[in-house]
Amino acid sequence: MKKETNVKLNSEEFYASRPLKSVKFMRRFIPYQLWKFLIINLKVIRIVAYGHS
Amino acid sequence: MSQVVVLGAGISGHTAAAHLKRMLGKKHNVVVISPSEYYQWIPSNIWVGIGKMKEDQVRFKLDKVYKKWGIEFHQAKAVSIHPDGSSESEKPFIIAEYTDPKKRGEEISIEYDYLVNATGPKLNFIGTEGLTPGQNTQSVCTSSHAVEAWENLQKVFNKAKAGEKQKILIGTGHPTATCQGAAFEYALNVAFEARERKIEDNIEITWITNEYELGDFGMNGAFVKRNGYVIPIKEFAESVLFEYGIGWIKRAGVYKVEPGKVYYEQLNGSKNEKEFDFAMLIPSFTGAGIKAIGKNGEDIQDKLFLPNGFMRVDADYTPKEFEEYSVNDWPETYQNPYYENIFAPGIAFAPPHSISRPMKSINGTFIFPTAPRTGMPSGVTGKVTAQNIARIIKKGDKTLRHRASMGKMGAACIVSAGFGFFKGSAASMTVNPIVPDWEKYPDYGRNIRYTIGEMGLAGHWVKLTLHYMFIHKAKGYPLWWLLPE
Repeated sequence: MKKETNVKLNSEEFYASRPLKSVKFMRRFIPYQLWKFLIINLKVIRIVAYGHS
Repeated sequence: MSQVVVLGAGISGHTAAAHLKRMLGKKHNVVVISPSEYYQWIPSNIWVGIGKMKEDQVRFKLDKVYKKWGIEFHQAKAVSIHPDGSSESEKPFIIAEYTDPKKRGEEISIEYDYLVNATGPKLNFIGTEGLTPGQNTQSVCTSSHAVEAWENLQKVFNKAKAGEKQKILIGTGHPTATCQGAAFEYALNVAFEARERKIEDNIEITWITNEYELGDFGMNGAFVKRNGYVIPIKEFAESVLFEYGIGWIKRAGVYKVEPGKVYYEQLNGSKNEKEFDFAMLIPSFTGAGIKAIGKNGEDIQDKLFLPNGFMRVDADYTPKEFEEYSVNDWPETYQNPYYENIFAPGIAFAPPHSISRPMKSINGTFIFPTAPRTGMPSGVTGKVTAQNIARIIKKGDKTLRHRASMGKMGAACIVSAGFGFFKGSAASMTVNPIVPDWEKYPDYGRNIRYTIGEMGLAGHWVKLTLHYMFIHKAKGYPLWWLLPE
């Protein structure tokens, strides 16, 4: 976590949740992301469709 | 033949005008009055602000599209609304002043049968001392602001590349500013870009916000399902900022900006300063400042507008405590209660109250986000307004069948966090409904099933898809009307 140049120990930022390597991997894993792309789109379409009458 | 005048050609006004013309055909006139010659897809301004898109990729000239559709277009700024007509004529009309360089400053009077006020907000930079885009701070609220922001950000990047430590401040520039999502998105993209250029060690990015907790976004936060838990979106927002190396200052109301320095007050009453080399701060919003004038020239501002300049619609504006807020306070048809032929979709309507809990510092300063109405709600409310007006005109039935309350409608917010088909990322968030309904959803105020918070490449693809889809729709390309708002 070298990147967090302005995050100091014991600051509020220090207590933020952090993703595991597996989570970071899945964020870039194309088959999983294609599945997520479908899911997000379906949820958005559902929200739009039921949002107004 | 009826004439519908639409003030504004942003997401809401353009959507309303397009659907009105499609539904009314050649038998009726649709007139659009907008001070800009361009339509802008504002959500993509973020990418202009980090140099990933050119300005012309997020905007196009309106006159060609309106000519194709048969819509009359005036590049002008609405000055006054005369809903009772004048002493000479009963017919209601508006007065606008041309911003078109060929007729700049000339006034035009246009009569209407129905008026759609979709001006959006006035970017109230003067509401914060020294908050001047392009001078002390930057903005990404318009595409031209975003171009300027990118020019200045590059200077900061170049200094960082040369080994100079640089401080970047991004967030809200007023104690009651809204639209945190756009600023949050910009902060993540700037951090991503710094990392891509391998200069992150010389860049300190700070998120400054008037939110009580991160992830409030003017919607009083949200809850999402993650890994077997239902967690507050605060955790998601903090985690994302941490991961991108961005520090934060919350519960902060910026009240003054000087070159290289902001002054802010926090809810605990403390007054602090923060230095910066580059700052992008979102201003507060007010109404467009249109006057309402009666038949004999008298001021009838109260009938059309609230003191903040936003238009009075079918909302419950009775002052009440936060605990008494209800989804039923929110408007459904955006019709003015005094004039049934005037509507105000999009950001132009006055919300009944905030969604987030109003917070006051011990010095008496209100520091909290006001209600957002950008993006999806703007498009949806523009469409239902068009549907209702078209129905009245075509069928003569004044019942407003089409409704869209923010207490029933959901919204998707795709927060870009990096660009590139395989390198990009975005936080995808959906909430349903936008205004929490504690009676229907007593646990979390919203339907958890349709509320998501995901980070990853898929979100970037969704954001890119939305960009091209909405530009396609706005340009009136084939089957545009099938695409949702």
